[in-house]
Amino acid sequence: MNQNGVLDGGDYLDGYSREAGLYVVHDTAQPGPLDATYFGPYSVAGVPGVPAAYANEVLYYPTNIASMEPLPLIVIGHGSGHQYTWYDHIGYHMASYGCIVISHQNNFGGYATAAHTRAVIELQDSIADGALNGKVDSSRIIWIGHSMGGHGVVLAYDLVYDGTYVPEYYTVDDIVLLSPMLPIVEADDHPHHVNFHLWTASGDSDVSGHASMDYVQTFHMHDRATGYRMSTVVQGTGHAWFHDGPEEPSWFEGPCSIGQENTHLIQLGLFLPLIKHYTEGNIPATDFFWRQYERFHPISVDTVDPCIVVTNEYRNGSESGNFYIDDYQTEESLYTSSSGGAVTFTVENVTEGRLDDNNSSFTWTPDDPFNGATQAASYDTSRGVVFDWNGVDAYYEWEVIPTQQNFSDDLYLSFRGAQGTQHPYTLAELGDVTFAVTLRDGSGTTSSINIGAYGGGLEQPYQRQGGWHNEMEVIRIRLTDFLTNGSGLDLTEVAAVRFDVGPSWGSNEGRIVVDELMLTNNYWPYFSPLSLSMPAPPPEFLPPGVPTVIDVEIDPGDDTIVPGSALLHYRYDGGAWLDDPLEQIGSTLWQGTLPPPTCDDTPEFFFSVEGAITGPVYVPHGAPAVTFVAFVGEYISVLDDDFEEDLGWTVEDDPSLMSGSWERGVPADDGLEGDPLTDYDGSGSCYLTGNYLGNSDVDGGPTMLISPMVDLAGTTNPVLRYARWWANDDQDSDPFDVEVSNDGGSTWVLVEHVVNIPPGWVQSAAYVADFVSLTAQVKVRFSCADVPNNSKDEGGVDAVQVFELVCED
Amino acid sequence: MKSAMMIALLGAAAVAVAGEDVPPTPSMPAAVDGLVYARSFSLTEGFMFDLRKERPEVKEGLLLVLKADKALLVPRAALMPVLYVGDQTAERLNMGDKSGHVIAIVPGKPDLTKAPIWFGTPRFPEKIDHAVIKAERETAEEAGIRPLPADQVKAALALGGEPIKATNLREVLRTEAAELILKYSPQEKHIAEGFRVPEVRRKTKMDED
Repeated sequence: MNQNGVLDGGDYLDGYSREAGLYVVHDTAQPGPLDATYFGPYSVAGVPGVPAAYANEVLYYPTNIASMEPLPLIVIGHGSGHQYTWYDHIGYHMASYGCIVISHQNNFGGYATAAHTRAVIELQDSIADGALNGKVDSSRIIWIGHSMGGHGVVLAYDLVYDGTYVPEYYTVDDIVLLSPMLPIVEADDHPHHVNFHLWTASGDSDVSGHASMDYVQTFHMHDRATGYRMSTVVQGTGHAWFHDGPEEPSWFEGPCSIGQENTHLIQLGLFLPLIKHYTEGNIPATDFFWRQYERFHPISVDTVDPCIVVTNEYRNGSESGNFYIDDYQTEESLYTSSSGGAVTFTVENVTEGRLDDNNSSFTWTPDDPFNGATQAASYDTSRGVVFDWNGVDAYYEWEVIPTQQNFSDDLYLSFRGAQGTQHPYTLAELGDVTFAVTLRDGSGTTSSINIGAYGGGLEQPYQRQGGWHNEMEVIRIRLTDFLTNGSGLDLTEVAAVRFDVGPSWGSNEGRIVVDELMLTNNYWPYFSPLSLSMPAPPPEFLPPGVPTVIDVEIDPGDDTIVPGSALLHYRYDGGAWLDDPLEQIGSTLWQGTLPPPTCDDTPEFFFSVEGAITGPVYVPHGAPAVTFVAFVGEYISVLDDDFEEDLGWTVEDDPSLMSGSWERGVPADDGLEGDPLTDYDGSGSCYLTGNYLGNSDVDGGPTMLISPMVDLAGTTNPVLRYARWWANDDQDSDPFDVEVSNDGGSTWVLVEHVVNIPPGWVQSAAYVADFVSLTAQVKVRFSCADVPNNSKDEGGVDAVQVFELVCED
Repeated sequence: MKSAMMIALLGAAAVAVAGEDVPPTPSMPAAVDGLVYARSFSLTEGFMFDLRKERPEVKEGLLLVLKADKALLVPRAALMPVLYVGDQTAERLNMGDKSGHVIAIVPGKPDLTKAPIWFGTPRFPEKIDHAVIKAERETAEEAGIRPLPADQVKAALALGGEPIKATNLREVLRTEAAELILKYSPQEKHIAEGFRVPEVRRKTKMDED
């Protein structure tokens, strides 16, 4: 009730808001409450696009459909050598939970699934004597395909997506889920942004996942999906057991068979939450997507049976509420994350690269560091990292960039990982690999959680001929779990995420692949989160002695605002934050009022509001680590240079400089060396170290950029403000220095010494009088160097201002 | 956690390879063993031929019954060998792995005395275009695959008899093709029955009246 995480007040359950703490879920593998009716087979050959030789369908629907609202439509396409009549188990199951299901004859080229979908909508007043008439919800369509039919549904989506097939009665946006089962994968099969779920059978001897054949490596399809995506791997089962036709030939090989019946329980037990989530927004369904199967599974799946091993991979695909600390897609350096933070480690044999076994065998060899990884083909781009440890404690740590250090507005820390198949350390440690995930806050307080605490670790690869493909598994940790046992961790300022491995933390040895370390709020598809924004830039200068009113926009989206949570936070002296409620003056327009400042104040402020589901939202993003800063007084410009024109800056280079001398211009490089793609202020030009495409970074140096003379005689307290860019790929303390001189450049005083920061434009400011006395011969100097010459360093300067503040209390 | 227990079980449990009775796919290209039956057909309403990337509209074609090595015809979940007739792909209407007979449709009217008939590399059907067919045919001819003997073709055409004139392909399937499956591949009776299931048509105003 009061969302304070404590069982008090009127609580029946304690929690921190955003979601209920308890759901009662019945056995998802067992039939639902509705009687189901079967109809067919029948032909829809007359509908345009339906292949004449593959025109038949069978239908399943709730018997009392006449009294129901329009229902989701599930369309199943069988595989090569299979029959459309072999999917009764899915048809009856989903019909008993309120879906219309058809299974159709298939020739796998995509058009069949697309056209059969049209047919059932078009003929709804005729099929089954019109039982479906007005009951097909054509805005909620699910396509399931088996084997070549799995390829077929992805191809069908692609045909509709790119307009090759223009459907009648539905659009690409009406396809709410694709779920290929053990699909054949073509090089250009692409699920795009559709909600996507993949089934893989580790014992499949047909779509075998073999290292030598890309088209049987199912995970390629999953890793090409760009939206919500999930993968489920079932060990001990074969290709034929996903239908309910003949069990033999099973196309199964390997140990520990679980048979067709168990396969169906696993299959049906997940299809229900999958389809309920993507058609109805059912929230507890997502627990089936990512929780350890040993701990959380359909009730009738007997996980006491050691042969039943299921792993799930799930990535929330919301366009908001997610942040990748490292997805390895950019920043190929071992020492920098894709988000720009430093990466440090003591684990061994660290390699970043494409998730692609590079030869035709799953036998471990040191020259194939991603042995067993089949997430990508040579033409794909999915990347990750592998490393190992053996008998000693070690770590792999990501620095969190300052703007993302507030973890309190996120729900989970998530990553995917797998054991490296057939690696000696994998074979030595038969079973789940475990280790600890540690968060460290800005004051050095840490909190660690062993991933095994949630029921299991990273699963042992299926022991088919000694170990088959890597089986990626998602590990999600609720961020508030790091606060248990009085950890004292400050979730509003998390400086680092670390994997602690080794005997003190879990498995004695291990070889793992890791990817997609991210923060997620787990927003469900089609959910529009609450947003907070500013209709105009915040004030940079506050008049003394009078209050300042600031507008903010709060759009609740599909969420609701937690009462009293819309706040203006401010402080004028660097001390504790003060809060004032925002006042709603329009449907989405709110106002906050900064109290009157004095000339000695240094105002900082930010805004926050909390959505019941979205959780807290801040402006600026990253607050309170990042805040708005204002000056008190009237602005009087002395120098204001956006570098669109030459105002007399000069460049001096140390003789040791080999490349990367300062140049003025529009950024010309491609960013691959860490250089900016655009200037800071949007005017176009700025100063850059080596402004040309290719290897333009600073080597040796320093290179020094010196301002024209600035007359500050007669000013009282002028401010120097500028935007700087510094990228140092290996974070080896190469410097970017800012200095001022009051004698025309004869002597210099350091204002700012910048090292080891993530690449990006940063605005910085200082009172000149804090460093030098004010004369008519003031100059500013920006210097950077790569000494010794062993890094890729790129610097930039833009929007240099010197201004006087006139203030009288 | 599970896997450690699972490994322990391996000592007692036999490793199952349930697909072991499935023969390996023969090497391609592989010629068919013979032509049993051939009959041309023409349609009033064409159909889109999905086994070509170009998806041509087909209004005339050949209905064939071929004999082939059963190992070539075994249903496989992964890619299957593609059946070619001269410069066309053929659409198989049945598997034929039990009978050794494949009933197939070929667009157009290729001269069977000049068109080799063979199984080529397993491929995604929607990727097969003219260039692929040309390359596959060159490979087949290099492998010594030649058109079937003229007298065999003549006998097959004679057995087929007069050309079929039908409204659409569905009519051909429901009548002649279904009979051919029942005759030459009776183990796949369900396919013939499938061609004859009731067709659902959109209700017309007349139906409602």
